[in-house]
Amino acid sequence: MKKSALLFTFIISALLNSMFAQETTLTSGYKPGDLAESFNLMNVDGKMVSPENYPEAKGFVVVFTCNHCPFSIAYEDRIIALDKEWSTKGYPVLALNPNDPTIQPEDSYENMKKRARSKKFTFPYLLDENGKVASRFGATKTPHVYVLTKTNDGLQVAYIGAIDDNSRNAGDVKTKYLENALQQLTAGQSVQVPVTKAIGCSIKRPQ
Amino acid sequence: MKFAFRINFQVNILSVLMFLCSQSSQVCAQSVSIIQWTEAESYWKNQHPDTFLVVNFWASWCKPCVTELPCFEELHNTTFSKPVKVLLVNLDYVEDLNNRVIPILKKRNIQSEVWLLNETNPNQWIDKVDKNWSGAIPATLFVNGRGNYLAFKENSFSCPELLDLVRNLSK
Repeated sequence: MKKSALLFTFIISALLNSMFAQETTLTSGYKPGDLAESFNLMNVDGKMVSPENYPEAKGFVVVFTCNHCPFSIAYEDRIIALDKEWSTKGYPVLALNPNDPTIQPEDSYENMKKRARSKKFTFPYLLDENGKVASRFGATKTPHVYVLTKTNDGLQVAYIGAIDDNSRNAGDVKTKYLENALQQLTAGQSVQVPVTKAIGCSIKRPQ
Repeated sequence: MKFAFRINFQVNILSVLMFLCSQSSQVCAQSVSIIQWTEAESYWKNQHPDTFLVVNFWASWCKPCVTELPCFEELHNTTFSKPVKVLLVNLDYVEDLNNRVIPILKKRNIQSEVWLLNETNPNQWIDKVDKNWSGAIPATLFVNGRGNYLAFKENSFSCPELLDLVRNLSK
């Protein structure tokens, strides 16, 4: 009796284990073509910002970024330049910081305000508390970019990945993945390379 | 053919090392080789058949990566059923080798082999490590002696977790 109970517990736990393992190995989050749920997050000026606040926009460049990550810092000027160019063409940048400041103190809301001020961010820099939006999107690192386009059904994911092919030096960039995607979208074409990869700092989620 | 390639590759690594040694004795002591993706990939696909290889991708700016370095170092002091080789693949920019990477290795007295992967476009090689790798680090690849990729983990480890995993995979 005792033995069979033990065996039963073992089988159940093995089953649960395998289910859990499967869930964690599956790549979660959005894929190109998926509809993204909207969000409403606190900006560095204390006001709430949501994609719904932009009735004129054709879509958005959602950038998961943060204060501390050297890759995020390396891309700050490029993100500002992208926003200046593409917000006038209907694709403004929305930057979101998903990091838990108890793990990475440099990524606190106060430091976000300082960073936005000192770098003169032209776009909202939003606090993604507990990385909830990042988890929903499937963002794993900073910077991690998602291009959303407005469709009749809602915000559709058109591009996921890197800004370009050289984080180290903007002058050495050969392929501007994100801008290529935006150009194709605004020309009414489908995005030729909808997913790219880059090295980045892992998003620090609450433990 | 394969043999010739191997010799060629070793000479390459050696020349890089010799160059670095002439630049800085610190680099020489820590043996950080500057390599490119094709060299790295062919190295771990042409392992000694008895060796189990643990390839950890890390960077000086990645806090969880640096925290878990001692766990990888601990693998040296543990006996497994097969020889286990640890390769720490650093993803810092090459210009940060002396001022950022080497001090970390020295401070923690890292004895494992360290390579700096000097590639600018990760989009060309990330998928070759693992299709599901998003590019976040720490990340670790486990390769058997036949050059087969047994597992890939995009997460940090506690030391016991890492030991258990290596013990199971290297059986």
